[in-house]
Amino acid sequence: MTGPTTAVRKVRLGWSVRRLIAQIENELSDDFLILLLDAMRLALAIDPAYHRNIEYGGDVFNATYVFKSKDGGVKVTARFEPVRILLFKRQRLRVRKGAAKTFDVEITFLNAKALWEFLLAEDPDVFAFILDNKLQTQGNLNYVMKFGYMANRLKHLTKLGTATA
Amino acid sequence: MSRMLLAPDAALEALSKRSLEESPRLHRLKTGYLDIIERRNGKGVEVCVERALLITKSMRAPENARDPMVIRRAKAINDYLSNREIHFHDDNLLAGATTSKEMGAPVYPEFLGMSIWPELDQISTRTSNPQKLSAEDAMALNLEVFPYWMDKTVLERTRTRLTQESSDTLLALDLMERVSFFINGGGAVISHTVPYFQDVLKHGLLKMIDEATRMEHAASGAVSPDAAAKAHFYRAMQISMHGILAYANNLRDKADRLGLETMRDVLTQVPAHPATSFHQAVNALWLCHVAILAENVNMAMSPGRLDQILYPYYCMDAEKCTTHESKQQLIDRALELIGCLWFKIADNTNLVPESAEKMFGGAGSVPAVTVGGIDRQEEDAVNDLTYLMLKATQMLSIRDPNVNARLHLDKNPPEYQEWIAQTILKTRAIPAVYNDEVVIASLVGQKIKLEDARDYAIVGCVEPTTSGQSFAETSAILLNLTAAMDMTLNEGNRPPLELEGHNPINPHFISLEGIDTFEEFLAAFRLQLEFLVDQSVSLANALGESHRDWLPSPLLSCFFCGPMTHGKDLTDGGATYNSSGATHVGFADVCDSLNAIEWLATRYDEDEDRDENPFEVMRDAVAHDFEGYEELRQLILAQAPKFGSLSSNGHGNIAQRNAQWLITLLFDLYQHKDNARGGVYRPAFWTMTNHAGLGQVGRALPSGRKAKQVFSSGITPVSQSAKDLLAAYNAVGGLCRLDHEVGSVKYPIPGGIALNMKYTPFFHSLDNPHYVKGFRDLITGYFGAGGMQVQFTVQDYGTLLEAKEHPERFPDLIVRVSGYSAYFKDLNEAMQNELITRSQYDLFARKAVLLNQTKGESS
Repeated sequence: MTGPTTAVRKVRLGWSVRRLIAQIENELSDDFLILLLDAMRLALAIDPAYHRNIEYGGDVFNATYVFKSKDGGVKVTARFEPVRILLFKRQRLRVRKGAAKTFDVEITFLNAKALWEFLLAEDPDVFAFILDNKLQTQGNLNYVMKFGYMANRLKHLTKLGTATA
Repeated sequence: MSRMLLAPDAALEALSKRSLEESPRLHRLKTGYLDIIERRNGKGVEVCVERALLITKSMRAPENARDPMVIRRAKAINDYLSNREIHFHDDNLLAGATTSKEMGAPVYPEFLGMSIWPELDQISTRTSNPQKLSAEDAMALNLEVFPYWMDKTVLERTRTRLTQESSDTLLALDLMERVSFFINGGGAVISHTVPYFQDVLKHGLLKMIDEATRMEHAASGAVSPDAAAKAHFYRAMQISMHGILAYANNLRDKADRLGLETMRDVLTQVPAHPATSFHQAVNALWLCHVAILAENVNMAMSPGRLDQILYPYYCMDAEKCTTHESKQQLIDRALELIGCLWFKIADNTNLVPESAEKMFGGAGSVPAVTVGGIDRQEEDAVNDLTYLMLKATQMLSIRDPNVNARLHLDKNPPEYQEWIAQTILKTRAIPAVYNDEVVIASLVGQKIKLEDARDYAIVGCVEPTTSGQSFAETSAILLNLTAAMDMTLNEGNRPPLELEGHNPINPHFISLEGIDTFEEFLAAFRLQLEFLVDQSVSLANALGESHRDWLPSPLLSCFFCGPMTHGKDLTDGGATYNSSGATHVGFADVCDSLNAIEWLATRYDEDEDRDENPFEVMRDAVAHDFEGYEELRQLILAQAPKFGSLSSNGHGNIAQRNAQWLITLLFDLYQHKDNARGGVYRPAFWTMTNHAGLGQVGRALPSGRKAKQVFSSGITPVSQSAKDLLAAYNAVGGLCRLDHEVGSVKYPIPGGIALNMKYTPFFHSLDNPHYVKGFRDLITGYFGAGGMQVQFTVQDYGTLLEAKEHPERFPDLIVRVSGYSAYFKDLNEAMQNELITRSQYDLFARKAVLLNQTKGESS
């Protein structure tokens, strides 16, 4: 009995690795995105400077973001909303699986891989993703801009362990 | 008009020999300017948040909240102008600045300023065109400015309204946000126009305010349904103009404190009172230009025919000169003031997010200055200031202002033509040249009065418009013609793009299966093009309505003919003439695609053994980026007719016929569309850097162009395809003026063109009379053939390749993009590649020097 040739083994290995990556990309994307949003939620809760992004002066930031992928692998809602704690109102971020029907902006990625590329990029280029058909938005683009700023600040925070806002 | 102090040939000759070093002030200003653009000595472009903060503060103020929007807007502009910090950064003779920085990029949050939000922390250090922004200013934008405007930008106001109305135009908005179908400039800016400065110079602002006050009282007493709106508008005009006066007074007081007596005296007179000298006129005009940029984005707001507007004030000074010495002093002083104005006009640049660098990288604010040509009475308008402005352009050789030279072959003197050629050869790029005869006829074809058409000036890149009378909004639409070709080949779709709920994107299409002839293919293409034109126009109109309702321009309206008479804001159709511009990307690529399709269809027709459908063959080849179809691609490149080339292979004038068909189709489509102000759309063919950006994401085309390659610029033939210089000129000239039949001439490109030509520089070109003459003769020959405009980059392949490799060696190398001038080092890689591969012509041989023949050359 003879086993598969080296070439066949390599092909099989390559195929297995690709399948594994695809599985990770497809199945963990929701959780990975939620993990990142949770980090943002935590930063907003514990860091007063970062919290100013959603509550400053007379401005409070109320908004609903929906993140989706066209292949259905990703459906997450992030909502910036007030919460009452005792007598005080305070803005917070709430994250949940599933896509809200009403939103201020919906960000749809081509697939989970595109989302990964976007989230893991050092300096994600929204424009390039739109041009490459990897990302499309529905709703107010300025909300995307604001979220982009907050995400960048979060990256900065996690790198430096400190924040200014 | 004729020369005055420069009348003796010796005076003109002496002027031509002046060097920058002979004007110490201009030399110092140039050194300071280079420090900024080369980011030396800690200098560089800075983001200026002053306007954004003050305007936002005013708009937030509860006491203003109940005012009509036109008055709220005027108060905001007034608050900003009145409360600006006053800076004198250098010893420029003119007072006033666009921003608080030496060279600033102002933030306009009500338009697209928020696009830099994600980059606030990186904009200072990004690799591409960094713009300094302090952490404090970044935080002010993040916390105080941008949150207020999130739902109030012109784009979001439009989206909200269209959503509430469930408008069909939402599809157009979706298409626009995919970027690669069309872009509507109205989402970012209106600007793109030429104001009217003559009244403020002649009468002063106080008299203009009196007039607006009188009109307000008259409107208030009227009983017409629009009386209240008119009264509000006149009130807003007054508030805006008072803002300019407050700013001028603050400048005057600071000048006084600093002991700048001349400047103080100038500001004591203008802009409140009539200008009585050249210096006063220049400064008054500059202050009003600054004020206009307080209201509207610093993009292509063009000062116009400065040699005409300022000439009466130069003459006032000249009449006082009695000695040769005093005349020479006036010439020197005028040249110095013009140089100072050029630096002032260049004191700002656009705020461009890194993500948009692909499309707009390297752009300045493109304020166009126009010189020469004829006057309203059809007389030669070239005067002393024309030469002095060309001389300042030669001496300074800076990107802005975008200087344009009008040329009337019969009326303008030969020495003027020579000065144009010399200026281009000295700067290697500036000015662009316009054919008065064709431009004026094109405008008259747009129902512009002949006298007004003769007084045209250039907006931004290349767009002709009557000075101070036409609100031409020339950037209303930028449409990618290759999108229509894609959709024709793909049954109304544009893979891989998908639009939810719109499959196909255009439900009206002709399937290639059913097409037997090229004429039927043209009909299929027309369906898609018409769809995109309809979509882009509907969104442009929606944006126009939002400008009218939410972002009126009472201050700009003060510097236009019409609004004061009609009691209507510019955005509401107050100008004498109203139009919108629609320019196009990929013209030559689509022409060559049509040529290739016709060529293939003819081949298949002639070959009885072939029973495949040539249109489907072409679709499949394009869909596969010619993988597996390389033989076909090579045949197309070698044999199919090309726009801009001599006819060959027995195909006669296929290329020119198809180009004319496309030009005429676009003209007919747009001319039947009304804009939001009651005017029509004018087709144009200029592309800035969009042909490079859109090309990078474009699929293959039937022309044999593979995917992700840049498109051709403006109306220029595809790079490396038009090998005969005269044929290229004749092809373009033959489109600007269509001679359908005897006695029937049509001018189908009233919106303007950018024809980009690259010439091989010749060693000591300026000292070689044959080179200069050859240069001139080609322009005049092209204009004789109907050409409307041409602009040059006088560089060879080798130099541009070296500049790409070693940008530090060429910090101020200027090139023509497709419209404006740019520093080569500031352009993105795709645009640099487009400039490198752009056909380079040998002026003596009048043939293209092909890139593959000259790799590695350097001059």
